[in-house]
Amino acid sequence: MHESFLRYRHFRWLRIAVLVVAADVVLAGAPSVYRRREVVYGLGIVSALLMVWLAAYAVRKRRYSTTARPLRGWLSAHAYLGVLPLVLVPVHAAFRFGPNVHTLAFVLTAVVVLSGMLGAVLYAALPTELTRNRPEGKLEDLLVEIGKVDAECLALRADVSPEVARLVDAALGGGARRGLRALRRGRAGATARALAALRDETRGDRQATNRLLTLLAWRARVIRQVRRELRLQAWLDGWLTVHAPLAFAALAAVAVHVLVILRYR
Amino acid sequence: MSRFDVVIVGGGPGGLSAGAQAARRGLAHVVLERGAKIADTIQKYHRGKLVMDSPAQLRLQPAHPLRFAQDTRESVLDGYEQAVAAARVDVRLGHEVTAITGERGAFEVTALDRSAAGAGEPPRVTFACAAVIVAMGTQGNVRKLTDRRPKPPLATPGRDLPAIVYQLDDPAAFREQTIVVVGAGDSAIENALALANPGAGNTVYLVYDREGFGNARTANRAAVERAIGEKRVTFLANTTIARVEDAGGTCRLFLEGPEDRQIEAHRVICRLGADPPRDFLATAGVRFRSRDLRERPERNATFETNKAGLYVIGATGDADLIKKAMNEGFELVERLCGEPVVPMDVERLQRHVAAPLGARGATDDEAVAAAVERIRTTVPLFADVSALQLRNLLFNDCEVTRPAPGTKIFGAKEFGSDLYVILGGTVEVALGGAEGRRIAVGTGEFLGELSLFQDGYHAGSAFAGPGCVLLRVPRNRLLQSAGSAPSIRAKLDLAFALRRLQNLFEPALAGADPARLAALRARLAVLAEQAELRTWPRGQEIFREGAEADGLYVIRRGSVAVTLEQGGARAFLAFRPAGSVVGEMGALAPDRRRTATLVATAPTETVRYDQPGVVALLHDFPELVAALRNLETARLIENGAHIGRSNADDLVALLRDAGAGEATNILLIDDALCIRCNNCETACAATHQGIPRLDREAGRTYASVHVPTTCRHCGNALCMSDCPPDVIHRQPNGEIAIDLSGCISCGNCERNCPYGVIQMQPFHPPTFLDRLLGRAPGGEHGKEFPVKCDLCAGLGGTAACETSCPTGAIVRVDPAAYLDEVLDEV
Repeated sequence: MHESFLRYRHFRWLRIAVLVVAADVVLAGAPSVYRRREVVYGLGIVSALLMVWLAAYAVRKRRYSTTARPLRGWLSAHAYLGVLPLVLVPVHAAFRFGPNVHTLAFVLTAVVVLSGMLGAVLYAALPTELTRNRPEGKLEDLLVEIGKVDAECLALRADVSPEVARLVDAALGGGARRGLRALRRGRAGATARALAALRDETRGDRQATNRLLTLLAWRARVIRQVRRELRLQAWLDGWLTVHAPLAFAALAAVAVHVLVILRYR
Repeated sequence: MSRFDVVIVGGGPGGLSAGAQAARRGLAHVVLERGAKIADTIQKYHRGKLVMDSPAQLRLQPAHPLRFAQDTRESVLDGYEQAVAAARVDVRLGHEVTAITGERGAFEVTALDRSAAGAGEPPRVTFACAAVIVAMGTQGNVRKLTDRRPKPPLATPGRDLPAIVYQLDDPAAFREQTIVVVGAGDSAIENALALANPGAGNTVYLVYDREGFGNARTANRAAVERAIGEKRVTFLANTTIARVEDAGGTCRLFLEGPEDRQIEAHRVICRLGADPPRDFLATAGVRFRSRDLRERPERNATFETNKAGLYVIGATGDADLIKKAMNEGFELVERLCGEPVVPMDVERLQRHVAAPLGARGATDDEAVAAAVERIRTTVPLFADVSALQLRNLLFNDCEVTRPAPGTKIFGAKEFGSDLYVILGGTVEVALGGAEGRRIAVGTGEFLGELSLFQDGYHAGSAFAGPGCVLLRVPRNRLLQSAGSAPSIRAKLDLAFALRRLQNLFEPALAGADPARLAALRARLAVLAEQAELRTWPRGQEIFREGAEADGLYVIRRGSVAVTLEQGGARAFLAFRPAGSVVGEMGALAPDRRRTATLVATAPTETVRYDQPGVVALLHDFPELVAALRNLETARLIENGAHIGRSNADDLVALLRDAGAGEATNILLIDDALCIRCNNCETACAATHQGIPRLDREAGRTYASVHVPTTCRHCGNALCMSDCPPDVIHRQPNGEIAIDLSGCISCGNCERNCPYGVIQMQPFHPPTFLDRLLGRAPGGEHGKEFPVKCDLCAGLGGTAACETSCPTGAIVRVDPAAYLDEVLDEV
């Protein structure tokens, strides 16, 4: 019932992409053909149009009220056809590269394609990880929950001995968000130290000590989950910060390349 | 003793209307009201309650001396007070009528006059009159404490003690007291909760002699279950109050149930519902159609009972809406004065019922009466209701049509829950399945009873036959009528029980000797008549693997999951929606034992055909075994494919807890594909004035299926169950839609939704100008409206969330189809 964009219509766009790549490989073995003027121009025009169409995905993605094909079909085509510039352009350039604007356009395109491939891999791998890490509820609610636990810990610290209270402070690190940063800087040890001190605590109020043990242990686990979630989410979103801007850079470079060719041929 | 033209018993909307018109016509009249103020039932509403003026399509008689429009309790009561004073209506407050004797032209109405303050027996007053109008409503006849275990039930000894009361005026008056509330309906729950307010320090018991809160509104049920969980209220189910003894200021209750106990209570508040004042009317000589306590008195089209000169109007009749009762009062007095009066329902009935039916009469009024009579005599379903009851039903959005032969009435898998009654000609029904059986259904029969119980799609298609005349009755209207006409309900129940048996077994006798078919039909009718109807709460086990089979079941409403125990693990075998036959294996197995476990995955109703009856039927008609065996083998093959998977817990939870078991269209996200980009929510907001109706992150995950917070478009949706203006309806595409133009912002739908998918938002429905200019509607003026998924009604069948999902993680599906596919995939 659920059909992944990668499997869309029994891999329709993968099959088309494979056909094009195969044709391109055959062409690459025949220099007399690919050096012909009309083939060079043809490949160039096809590649440029393909790149413009690939960039148009950004527009299609935001057209929410369309009743056309589902977005996953577009993404499927985007992912599989997006690989093609990587193989078409070198043949178009007759495998001649140099320190010039033409090669820059190709390098940028290659980075965009490779980052896109990374994205596809991340899309396939990370969702399951996210579910496994934390299957239920809203992150926002969890952060509120951590805030409440912090407040309760701060209230309870009055009932334990001062040195233990200091360790509890260190473990809390002041608020959920600062705590996250503190943990990343290696303060995870602070929670462990606080837990150990609480375990050995004899002077403070018994009930408060027990409650603090439970709360800090819960907090440590949940914060681990939250951090993992944020990290995974950062990967899922983060590759786009390379992919999307460089795609426009690549398009700009291609435009320059086309202008230069038309002006100085 | 003075003599009156007419004595009106009851000073509510109906009685006051009759009184005001009698005053205007110069009749010698008197209105006897038992309460200390007029309109006692409305007085008992809580402060500030909005009094509804539904139905919208019925207008008040233009010459009516009183006015009435939807307003707060206080304004409505003020309006009545002023109008009654202006019209010089002779209202006697504090007069409780105890007897009506005599004949037309010479009645005597006896009342106790409690208006004069003073100790001792109130004086008895008698009014002589030519005609009596009874407009008592039902709230004056609340059900009293009764021991329902013996048949017939017995009055509970001690039920007239002063500590036992039937209403709660001011919960704040009770502090540090022990109070027993009897009942489990909405008013019982509301009273118990008000008394259990923690600040008051009361000890509150809720006692009921049956199972639980089946008849209460969802919001009330949830609130009382919470209070019970928090021990603010002690609930004693299946507990009967055997007797009550006076204990000097308090009373002692002797309870019998799962645990016998005594409670000493300061106050006992009984909220057991109300009935028409049957005993009172019966003593006056009025007949009722059946012995059912909900039954209304017999009355003819002019509201006259079998007792000449004695008239019944308002809720004691079946005009249970204020506007209807007011019109009845006005129309009756006009007729008594010999003035011509056209009932307000004639125009609509003439246009939508009488004219298309071809009924004729000298006036529209007579044509309508003829049409009603013709329908009543043609259709056995309506044979036992009065012409007035039928007329009220027909007025409520019913429609007569004459479709050309071959026209599709409804198609298989199309949503619709109207009942179609055949008034003439035939209808051809095509049932699903390979054989493509077509059955002709004749005049007087009806179609669509399955979707009447389970609001969902039709199982088969129906086409108009030659000479077809159809009456379309909307589902909720029929169910409302069935409440005051028990005969309709009973006939629908029986029809359902019989139809399912016929559908199952009759094909097996196709082409057989007609005598044998007739014999089978007679047997099925007996089986259907003896069938047992039962309701099951969500999650309840209906039967367990290995238990002795107690018969064949049909799911009438809700849905069930079939599971099988295997070495400690539980395999999910099948999901069976409403309409399915289940338990056939137990009926066929040589040892007559259950081969699987059945769990209700939504609030469910089953019809059970008794095992000995089924076994005897199969014995006498061996050819039927094949029909059941076909069903069984198909299911065994299906089961075989699923045995060995221990997925039952997740799938049952998905059905039972996440609402897939009652959904008709649910949004499911495959967590393995979802990249959490929220494009679905963004798309939802972008296509719905910026307010998303979907919360992706919220909601639970079952195995790897995530059910976000958004509308499931439930069958038998609870949001619809308590919408005062009745503006929530299912659309033909299955969408549960709220018509915001009629919405009164009460928030009931939001509270009643078990899945939290409706949000009240400061949102203004698009006005005509907005539509014309194609602009976004402006926010309004402190008012909030319910916002929920509309299946992207404007996008022609594609849901924006689904089409905007880049990875294909989202599907919006019929859960039955989804489960079929999921079970086959793995």
